[in-house]
Amino acid sequence: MTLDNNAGSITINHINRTYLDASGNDTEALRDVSLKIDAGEFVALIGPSGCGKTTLLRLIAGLDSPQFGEVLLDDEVIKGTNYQRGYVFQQANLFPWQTIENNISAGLKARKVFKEQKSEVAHYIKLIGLEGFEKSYPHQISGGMAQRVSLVRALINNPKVLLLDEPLGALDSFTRFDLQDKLLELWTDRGTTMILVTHDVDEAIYLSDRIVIMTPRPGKIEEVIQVKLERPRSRSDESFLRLRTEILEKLHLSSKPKEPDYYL
Amino acid sequence: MLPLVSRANRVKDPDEINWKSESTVWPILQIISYIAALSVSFLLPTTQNVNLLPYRIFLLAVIIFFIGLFIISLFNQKIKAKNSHNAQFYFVIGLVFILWDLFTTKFDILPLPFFPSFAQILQVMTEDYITLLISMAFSLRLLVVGFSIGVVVGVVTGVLIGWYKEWNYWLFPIIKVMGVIPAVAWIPITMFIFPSSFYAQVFLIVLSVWFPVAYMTCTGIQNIQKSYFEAARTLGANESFLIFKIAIPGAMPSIFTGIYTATGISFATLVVSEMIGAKAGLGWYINWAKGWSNYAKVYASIIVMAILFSIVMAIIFKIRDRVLIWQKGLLK
Repeated sequence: MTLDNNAGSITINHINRTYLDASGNDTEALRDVSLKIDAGEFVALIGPSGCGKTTLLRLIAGLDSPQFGEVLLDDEVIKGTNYQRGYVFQQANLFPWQTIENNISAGLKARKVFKEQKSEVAHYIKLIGLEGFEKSYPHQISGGMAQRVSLVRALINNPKVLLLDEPLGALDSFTRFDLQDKLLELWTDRGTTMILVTHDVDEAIYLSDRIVIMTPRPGKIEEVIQVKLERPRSRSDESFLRLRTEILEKLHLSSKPKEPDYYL
Repeated sequence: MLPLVSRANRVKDPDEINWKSESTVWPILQIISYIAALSVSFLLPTTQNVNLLPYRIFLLAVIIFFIGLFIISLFNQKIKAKNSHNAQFYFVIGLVFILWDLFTTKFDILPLPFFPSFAQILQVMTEDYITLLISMAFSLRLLVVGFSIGVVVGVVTGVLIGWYKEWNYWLFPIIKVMGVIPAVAWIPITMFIFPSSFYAQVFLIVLSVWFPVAYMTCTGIQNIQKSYFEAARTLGANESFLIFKIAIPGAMPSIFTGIYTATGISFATLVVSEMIGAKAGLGWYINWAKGWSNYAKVYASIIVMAILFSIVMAIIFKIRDRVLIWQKGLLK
């Protein structure tokens, strides 16, 4: 299989997104968010719930559109979904009526290139070690297996950017570590740009080049931290732990209401 | 490491389907109850005027069948479990045959012609089997044609109103109002619109199948998790992929609920429409037999209907199990 190194860069320019909540009030999911992600970069978005990180990911995917500002893939403004921006959901979100094999090949069929690239399916099944489960249905496999299927279902399209919406959040820690390594392996092999939404500070540090810390109400970028640790990284390394404490403190501070500058 | 416990020694999982405790007594009693029924028929004097031969042959066939089952179940555990589970039921049915026989041919207690003996119903069936078979063929043709068209039209309409807002706006209110009207209410109107009663009947069955199928297809599509459509879109799906690979397969469980509902309604429509306008079919046969006060024939055609409709239902369930194989083990 030949892989052209076709990673894409993402540019986010002054994005605003406001939703109406159930009682008709405006909720600012994102306010004036700007960010540039280089081609081939691994970026983690982290922050408390309600900080708009999933909204941001959905805007990049084209599942939602901004009310102000724009998102660009390379030099093109994003409008609607496209297979070049693959998306891995929090729940594996496999089509329950299709076998594992057919779930993986769904992207090829949707793009009408299944005939030419049929052989890829077996390759990807082997890649995630699911030989023998080709004809199984999603409910017959474990959560970890399902998430691996979900990952290659997006990867088979060879996207320029892979958007990961807490894909490992619902898994037990052994499966999670295992899949984190798999993810790194795939990233190293292909060089695809990866944007990961996560709650897990360890996961963000272990995987990414940069960590974007976001704050809620209104959702905006608080700080961007460069992770300068050598790869492969060790979770028990001193520098790893120091960075972890630093980020946790920042998250903790940002989730608390700001104290006034002076008291009367 | 512990050795694998042999099949014979380990504790058996409870059998969910054949849950009655296994016994050899009930399968034997089951045979005895039909032998008793046959004995009653032979030994007690008959007071009604009826040909008992078909009834006796029937009982003999049942006895031979259950004896055969008993012998096979000595060697086949699966059949043994099933036979043992069902034996109590068929034992009681055997007793019902005895009682029915006593109340009719033997002591002539139930009034004729309204409550004939089973022997008489079987006699009528063997005498009139050609007319019955032709009637059955007519009903089946009507059902297959009407039902197939109804399902296709129903699914197409359901997809249109479930997927396109514009179609939904114009058609859904009509479906909602028309859906509550029983198709047979249109009989007087169909009689002068259509060139023959066959077309009129097909139309009525199409109508009765159309609404439940269309409605359930529409709600089935609307209840599919949004995230499946989103996943497909990020994989590069166009609209036809979303409709044919996500919406329709995702709505299949609901579509089959609609088809199942439609089946029952279509049986009713079939029989009523045959009773009123037709010159053939099982519904016509019932009406015709009633005209001659031949209630044995009425019961005979009801039995034929029960068999025919059960087979149709079984086929639909088989198709459903095939199509919805992905749900196996997903739902309880």
